[in-house]
Amino acid sequence: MILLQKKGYIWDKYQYGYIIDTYKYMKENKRTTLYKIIHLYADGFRYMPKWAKILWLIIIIKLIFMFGFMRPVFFHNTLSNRYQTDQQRVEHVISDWTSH
Amino acid sequence: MFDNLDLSLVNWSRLQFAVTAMYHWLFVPLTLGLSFIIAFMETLYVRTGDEKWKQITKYWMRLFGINFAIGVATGLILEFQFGTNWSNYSWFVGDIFGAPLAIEGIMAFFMESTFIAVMFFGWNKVSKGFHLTATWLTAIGSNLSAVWILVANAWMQNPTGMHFNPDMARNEMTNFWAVFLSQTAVDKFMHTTMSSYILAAVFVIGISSWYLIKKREQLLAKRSIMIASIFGLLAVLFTIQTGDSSARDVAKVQPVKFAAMEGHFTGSEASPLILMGFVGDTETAYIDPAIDPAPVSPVKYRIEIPGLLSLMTTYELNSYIPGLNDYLYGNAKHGILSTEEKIIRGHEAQQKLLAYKQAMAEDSPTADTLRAYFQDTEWLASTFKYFGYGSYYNSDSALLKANITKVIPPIGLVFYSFHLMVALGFWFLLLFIVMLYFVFKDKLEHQRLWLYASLWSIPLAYISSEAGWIVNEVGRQPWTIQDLMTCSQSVTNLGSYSVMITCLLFGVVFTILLIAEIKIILRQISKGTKED
Repeated sequence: MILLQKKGYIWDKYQYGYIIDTYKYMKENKRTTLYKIIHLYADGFRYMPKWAKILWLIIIIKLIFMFGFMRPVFFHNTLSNRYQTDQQRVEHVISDWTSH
Repeated sequence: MFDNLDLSLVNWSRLQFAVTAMYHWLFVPLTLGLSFIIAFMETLYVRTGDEKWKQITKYWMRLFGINFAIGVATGLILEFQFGTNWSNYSWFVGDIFGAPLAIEGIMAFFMESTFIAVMFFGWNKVSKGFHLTATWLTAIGSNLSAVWILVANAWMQNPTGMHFNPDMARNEMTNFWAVFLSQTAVDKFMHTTMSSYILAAVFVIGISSWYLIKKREQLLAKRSIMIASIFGLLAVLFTIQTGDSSARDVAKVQPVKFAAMEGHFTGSEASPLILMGFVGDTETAYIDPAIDPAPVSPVKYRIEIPGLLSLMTTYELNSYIPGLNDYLYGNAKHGILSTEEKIIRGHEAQQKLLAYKQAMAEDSPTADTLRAYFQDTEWLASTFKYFGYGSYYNSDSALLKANITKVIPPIGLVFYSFHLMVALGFWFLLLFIVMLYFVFKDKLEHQRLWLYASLWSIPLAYISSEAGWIVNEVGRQPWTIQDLMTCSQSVTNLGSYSVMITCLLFGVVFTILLIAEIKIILRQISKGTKED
């Protein structure tokens, strides 16, 4: 904060809090590594071409389908759900292995 | 023995896993190979400062990005299935698979997501050197993340470096390096990645050829063909070398799979290598060599080279290569146990485990004696090694004998897939040499026949790559873990309708998404470098 005070940013701290204050500092001093990383991702997504946005949409649909529907509805961890203890699981799997 | 298991459940579970794995594999090899081709192209841009190389790099990076996005999360389905459909198997291997798959997940996430972002968003925002480093790290990272799943798969083909804990009924890793650096794991990683590079090279050459046919993007096409042909040529040579090494390893650790790949039914000295042939009725081909030492092979119209299989497998022209019948009926002269004997030993191992659990439950003093079996390396190597065979046991000797052919994989599918994969491998070798010759002679655009051949080689590269996995996985049947666990033992006892529904849902949804995504990639190819 000493650096920010020197630059005259202490007023912003009281107005918007440290985060906004720091972001403003970063924005005006573009050499900051953190700003560069945030800027890289933010600009990348902002100026993404249409086909890339469609791809992201497909990825999101795919993930929702898998994690929001398939996994909760069909893909339960069978042994964890059906049996309470490891010993019960052991008995079950041994029974399955030796009876088939 | 099979009365209480719904066999349609096993087959639906197999189909579901096979379809999702093959779908996942449509995207992985291109990611693995194209990432390196892009890295080479960008290196040329940075070294020469030629803006055209930058444009070429950005163009292929775009196709790489689309392929990567299409493939995202398709592998996760397989992990869902482990816990739900293959829970018995997951329990058995939990300790072996846990560490490699966790490392893969973390590595893939951090390396790929970080450096891919720099690759796509970082043009003109980071220095040329930093961008190039990110591109190389993306290539290296994506290839390294494939290491772990391939190590896990290799362990299933050749279980090593572990100890079976009878209290928890699961395998525990005792030697990480034995798992990580087994010959099977090294061969599998090298052969899989090298063959993926071939696919990527064919993809680049095929699309570039399309541009030359259409008289568009000529500089991009010629430069891309040059890079991809050199890369592909090196990859195909390494693929042949690693394939040869891998086949010799398979002959040692999965001899039944090896015999199925080669269509080798009857053992012989100076065994011939079958180059081509048609597999006829195999039912009558399984005959005890003691009854008929030279039965008629069911592989018809075959073209073969005498002695070559022996030479390639053992480096000796006259060595004896056992056939499927040797493994079924045994061959005392060559120290091969019969399948019947393995079934009896596997049954003994299963009974010992059951007796141990019973003794533990009753707090019986025999528990210590029984536990000692699972610490006796000799008993483990002679009896527990065949644990999975016990599933085929029947107290009726005639029925037990009838069960022995159940350890044979579907011969036709394995034989044809293997021969197709090898034949296509040699076709790609020829293609790379020819394309390289014409590109250096600067006569490429006039070779329309070769340009069309390159274009139509793109689907062949995918067929070849998938065929390799069919050989690997179908050839291992009926095992999920070689000799230790069958598919029937591995599968969770669910309703077969539940598996059928998920299988069909995946099929429908992913086919729709695949069509949408292929349209995007075709549109981008059609646009060419306009956007770059």
